[in-house]
Amino acid sequence: MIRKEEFSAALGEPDEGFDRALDAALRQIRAEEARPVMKKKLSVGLLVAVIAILTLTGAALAVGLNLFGIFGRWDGRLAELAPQAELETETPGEVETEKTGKSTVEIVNAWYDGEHLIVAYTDDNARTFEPFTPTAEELARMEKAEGFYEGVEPYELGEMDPVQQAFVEAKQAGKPYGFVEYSVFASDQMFAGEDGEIELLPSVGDETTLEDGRRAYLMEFETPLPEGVRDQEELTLRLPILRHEYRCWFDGKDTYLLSGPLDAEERTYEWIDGETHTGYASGPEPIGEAVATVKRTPTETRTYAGEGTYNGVPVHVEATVSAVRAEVRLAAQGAALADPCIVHEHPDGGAEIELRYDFTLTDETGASLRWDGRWVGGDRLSESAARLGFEGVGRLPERLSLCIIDKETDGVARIALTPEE
Amino acid sequence: MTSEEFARRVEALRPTLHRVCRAQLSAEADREDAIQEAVFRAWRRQNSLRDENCFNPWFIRILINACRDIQRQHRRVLPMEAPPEPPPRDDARLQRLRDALDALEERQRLCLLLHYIEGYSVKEVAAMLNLGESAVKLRLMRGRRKLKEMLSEEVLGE
Repeated sequence: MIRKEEFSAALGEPDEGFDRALDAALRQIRAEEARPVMKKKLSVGLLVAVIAILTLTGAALAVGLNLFGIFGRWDGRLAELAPQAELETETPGEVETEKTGKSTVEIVNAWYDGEHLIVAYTDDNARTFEPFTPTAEELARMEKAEGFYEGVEPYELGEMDPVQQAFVEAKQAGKPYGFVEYSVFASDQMFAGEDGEIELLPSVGDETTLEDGRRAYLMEFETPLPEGVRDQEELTLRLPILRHEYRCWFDGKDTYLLSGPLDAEERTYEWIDGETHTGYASGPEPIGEAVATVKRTPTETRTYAGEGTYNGVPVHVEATVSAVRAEVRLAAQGAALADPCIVHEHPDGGAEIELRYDFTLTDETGASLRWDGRWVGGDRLSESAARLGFEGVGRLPERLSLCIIDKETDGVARIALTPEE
Repeated sequence: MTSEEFARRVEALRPTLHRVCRAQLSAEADREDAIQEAVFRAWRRQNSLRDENCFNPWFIRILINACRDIQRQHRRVLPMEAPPEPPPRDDARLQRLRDALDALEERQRLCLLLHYIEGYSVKEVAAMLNLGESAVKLRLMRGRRKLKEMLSEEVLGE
């Protein structure tokens, strides 16, 4: 007899990665309680931003639309930067395809201070669906897929195109049906430089739907920015426009997919498992670009400092702060900040390392500067000095308060920071 | 509900949440994305929780949907499943059970997990999975029968 304890054990206990992911999400919610929508760290290969459907007033869509103002509804820093996020020049990308008609991708706002870059853009969310029945030759190019469009919730069905709905209903009824989706959309890759030769790496992003159905996106890029993008007086930004099509066919028993056009050449590619595969699937194809130039916004940097004690040991803290970024440096005498890592040793000899401390930095209004989660110390566990990075609040604070939380002991230390002369 | 109260309730569900993810997603990285997405979605949609006593099934339902979204994303990007990660080493009997569970259809696995392991009633499982109670009972019966065939022994005794 297999008992339920064994069943439970077979599905495993939460692993380190799962625990870390859950803890990080809950920390972010605690830190941002006042904000109704969370910004999500973009993971490599999965640039799927948190989707927030907003109902916007007609006034917001009038001429002079400022996307920083819209995203700033739940991120005060962006609201502060909105007046400085106007572009120098802007050329929308206008494309036309037989299936999706005319559509436009437009870089609407950007903010750049030589060190940081934030860009907001829109596309028309152009998608069209048609019924599709493959020939035997076409079916041979398609890949069998498990579980596709199964378990669709009723509310999801209501948001689908009628052709998609027909597919779901046919699949539930065990009847053959297929569709093809054609789409045109803004790439999630952006390039800089006169010829677009420098790829910018996104760090965090957000997106929303405007009242007129367009999609609006906000992208913030990794710092330090690449050589050739840092410390420029002006930047030219290039955003590719992509076209894609994919087909789905249910033959009454199995489901088949093909990503890309029907007449694509067979190609060999390396999958994430490191193995080489061959097939007819292909990705989106660039068909145009939106271009804009943004001028550098002069920004002021201020240094703050404070003293405190932690675990009974004096701690000196300095912070260099701009409107969008704060770097905090801690120096402790003795061993106050020793062992910044909790080491979880595995029976097989490996080890997982978790940061022992959590930090919050708030300004005089109580607004939180978001910690980027990184501790830049040395490579030894006994470091007593560290650098921490935070997002700014869109302006220079009058004063700051750093809170150090020890996750092992639940100990808390608060250190007040005031501007240095 | 404050963020502290929300976090406390989610943390109390931690092992259950992991099992729900594990029942639907084979890759560790996907499970990490799913739980984060579920936390953010649930926090944003708190006003859809009408009765705080129903927090657990409400949150699990959001997590199930987040897992399904990730499954769909994978299928849309490239029609190929990532290979399952090698399971941790443990005894052969547990491994055999894990293999059998992996061989079940996901809908059967979820029903078995939520009813027999997490202890939700058929009615609650039906609400979480948006199914009729008879559909849940059918999946429970078929799942048990399939496990029994694969393992050659009775399963899920109380």
